[in-house]
Amino acid sequence: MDFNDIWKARAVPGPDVQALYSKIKNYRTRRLRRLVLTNICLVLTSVFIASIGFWIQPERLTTWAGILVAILAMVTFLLVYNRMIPLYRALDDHSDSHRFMDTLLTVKKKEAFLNRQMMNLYFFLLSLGLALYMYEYVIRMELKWAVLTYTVMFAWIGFNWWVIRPRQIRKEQEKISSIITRLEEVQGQFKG
Amino acid sequence: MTKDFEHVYSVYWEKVYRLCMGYVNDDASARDLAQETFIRVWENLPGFRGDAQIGTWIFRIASNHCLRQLEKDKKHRKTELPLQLPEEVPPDRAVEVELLYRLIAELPETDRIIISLELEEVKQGEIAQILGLSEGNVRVRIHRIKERLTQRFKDYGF
Repeated sequence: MDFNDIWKARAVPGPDVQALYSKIKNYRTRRLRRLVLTNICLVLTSVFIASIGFWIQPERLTTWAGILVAILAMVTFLLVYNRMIPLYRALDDHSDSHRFMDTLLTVKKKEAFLNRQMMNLYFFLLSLGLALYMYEYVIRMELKWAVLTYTVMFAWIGFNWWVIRPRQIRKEQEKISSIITRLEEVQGQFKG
Repeated sequence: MTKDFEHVYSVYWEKVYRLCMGYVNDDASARDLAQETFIRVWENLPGFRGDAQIGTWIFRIASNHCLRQLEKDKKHRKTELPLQLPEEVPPDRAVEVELLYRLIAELPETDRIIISLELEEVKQGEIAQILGLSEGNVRVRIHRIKERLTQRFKDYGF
């Protein structure tokens, strides 16, 4: 059986360099767009939170601290998110495939770790920021309203921490770990 | 740069396309994979130092790009063959071609790339360099894959 002949008998669409050039253009724009959008969204949110402080002119340090901590949550998210990009840039896709798979696996494991840590820190900082921010306004209320406000707030924070956060982390982790498992399988083929 | 790239593109397009086709056995995906490979070639060509042959370099990019599909696909793309090919289809070249590409796409990922490169008549030493395997290992695996393909072709009456 001459497999070489059969292999080459396959009909191949002709090369289309113009289609390729337009794809190159789109590809660059798409890659940049996501990065820029995420950064712009979080920077705008931070500016919005900061402007609340500016317009309301809080009297207590706790309110300022709350605003700062919330901004810090955004900044942390951006720092970690932007740190993942060089990880992928470092992937040398013209190294041999064995080495490439090893690096890709390391990158994925690092991404899984960063994701989990980032989610924990992000939720923690946002909750802390909110609790601190509310303090100034709550102490001006009657005791029963103050208790009610903080109860609702802590219930909300608890719901986020024990329900939303683990769900988000699990969703991300499931996605990444199934990729890691598949990469490990293929990595095993290089050793076999 | 544009002229160099277009030359490389016209020489290697078919080879890269078939390699991707052997990996996914799906025309649209193979075209995307091959095009994306050439996007990477376009981006990296100015930095190509010539310490490997250009073919080895392009096949490495293509092979790595195919393997990156593992990040996207939920499951391996394995097209199951019917137990018997329909009798009215004559066992001509078109059926053989379809069968070969299907059988290759059912192999483990690295074997798909090895046999596709072998069928592109890339030297075994070069295949070893592309994949980062020893030449001995490549030789043994090609032998096993061809044996398996021959057996499967016999099973289908060829």
